[in-house]
Amino acid sequence: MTDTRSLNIDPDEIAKFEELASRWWDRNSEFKPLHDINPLRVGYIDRIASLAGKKVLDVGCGGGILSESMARRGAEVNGIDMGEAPLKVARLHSLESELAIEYRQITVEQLADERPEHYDVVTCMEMLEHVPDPASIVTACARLARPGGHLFFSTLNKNPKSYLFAILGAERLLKLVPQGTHDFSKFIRPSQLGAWIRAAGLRMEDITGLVYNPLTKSYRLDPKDVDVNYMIATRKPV
Amino acid sequence: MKSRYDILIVGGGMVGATLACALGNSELSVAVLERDFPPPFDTGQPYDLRVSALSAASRNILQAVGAWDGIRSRRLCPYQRMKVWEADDERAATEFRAEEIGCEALGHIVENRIIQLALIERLKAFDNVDLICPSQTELIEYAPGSSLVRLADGREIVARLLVAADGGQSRVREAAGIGVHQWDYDQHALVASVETAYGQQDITWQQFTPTGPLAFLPLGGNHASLVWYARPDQVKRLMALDETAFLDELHAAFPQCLGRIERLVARGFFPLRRQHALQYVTDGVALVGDAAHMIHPLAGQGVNIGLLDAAALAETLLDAQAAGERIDERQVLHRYEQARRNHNLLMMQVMDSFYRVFSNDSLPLRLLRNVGLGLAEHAGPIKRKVIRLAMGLDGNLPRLAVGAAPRRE
Repeated sequence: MTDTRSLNIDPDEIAKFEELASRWWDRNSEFKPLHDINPLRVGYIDRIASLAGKKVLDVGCGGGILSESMARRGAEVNGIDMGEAPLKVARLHSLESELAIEYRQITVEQLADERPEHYDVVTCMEMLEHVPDPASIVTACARLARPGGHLFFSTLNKNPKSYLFAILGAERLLKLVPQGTHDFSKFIRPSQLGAWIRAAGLRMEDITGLVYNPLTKSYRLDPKDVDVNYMIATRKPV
Repeated sequence: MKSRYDILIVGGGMVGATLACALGNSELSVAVLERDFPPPFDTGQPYDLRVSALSAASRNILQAVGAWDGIRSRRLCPYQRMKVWEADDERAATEFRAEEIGCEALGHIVENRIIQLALIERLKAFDNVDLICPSQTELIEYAPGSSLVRLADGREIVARLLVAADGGQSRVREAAGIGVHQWDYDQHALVASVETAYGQQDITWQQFTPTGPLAFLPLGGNHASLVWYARPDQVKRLMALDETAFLDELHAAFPQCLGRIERLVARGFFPLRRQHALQYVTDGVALVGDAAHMIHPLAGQGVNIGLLDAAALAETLLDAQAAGERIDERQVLHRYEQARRNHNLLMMQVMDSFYRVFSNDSLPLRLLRNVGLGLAEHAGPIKRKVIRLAMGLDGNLPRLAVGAAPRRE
């Protein structure tokens, strides 16, 4: 048993996702929102970083929803996560989809020691709000990317609107995600994430919001509304 | 290695292939997926059951994209007159004539397969258009600006814009999560391809009866296509009859002017459904033709509004490309939706009111519609307006539909 205290993970957070692993690829399960926003994400990433033929690392890959769609666009994908059950699901599902994706249970900091400057693209989606020290994740991601490589981060903003939408809206009222998925104290303002990104020596290139419309039940990208869920595209200088 | 295109049109039927041709010789890379090639044409072949009444606007579009010659060199039947009346009152008949609006023809009846053959032949000539056929779509993964389609043979295609030209049960529409409004009419259409005792006709007509309309569409020589709209149980009964019994029923139900039918070449039927997509576009996806709308085939407007969709979408995309805009962005695609959705909705409502008003035996309605049809015969300007609407020449039209170049120079 690894001593989790020394690793940049929160065992309670990992346990939440372990419990749900079997339903990861069920589009009508708790993971429906992930399936719904995945097209927007992979479209955004592919548009900026042209995935075909690239070496890509998906940090916090979970059951592999994003990893698989990036692999389908011709990327050579590695996925890492600290949850064992989601990784099992991801491995099984990639066999079913006939995609060659390498999944590993390893922290991003450990992998950065092992493979510095190895990846053309690093994605870290919806993960920073689940770890004790997000700045360290951003730094490790930066070490993993080759000079000129693209890095993408997404997380939840911290303001009254995001509290309303993510916690009251998404968790309790609309029940889009299981209750307890989000911890408001861990939400991150774009200015905060921006500071970590600059500290890691990365250049911010674009920011876009992911907006949910409860009436039409659809998501869209909106560069002007980063109030709740947002994505930042960055680049490691050459 | 994956193939990448700016635009992937899923479905190379009449509408999808028209769009591909309209995008021919542009700077956009285009691929068209079609399941199978239509069987080649031979003059000795009997007429197909599936025919379309192409409006003047549709003819303009097909001419502008360079497919009209391929249609004319195979076979088609122009009509100069169109007549509409009610079963019990021929005096209230309305007849539209091409000469009244100074045109050669009101429209043309053409077999769907011939339209598709001519379009496919044409699109092969464009360097920027690839036809992927035969092909079977296995998976559609929607992602705005980067959608992926996997074929059964393992080939994968990534495109910035996916165009759904894959029919009423569109898989592209489903993948993009676009819903539809739909309901079934309590009516089937029975289509019979027949040989008549007389030669080629220059008229298409529709007679309204309490059980549903009856329609005559001329084909070449002594051939014709008859459409019999009726309740589903009645259509099933008619389909089960042998040729002699069927022709007897036909002669009994259709008006005198049908003349004698010598032979039944083929018959088939289809249920009628109205369906309209809640939106025609989203980021990275546009719907055209039946994927966007299915309407009552009564006045044969389905294909015509589908071709207008293709022309309008091509125009939107080429203009956006010329202006340096992103062709897969919702804001850009929205211009196409604005150009088409209300027009199509209006056409649907008109067909619906025909269905409701005419497939009905109530006396006040009967009086009303006879007065209406009688008025149409005498009111000059209104009548000309009606003709132009039926010919697809009314309202705000894409440039291709009025015979202009697809791009504003």
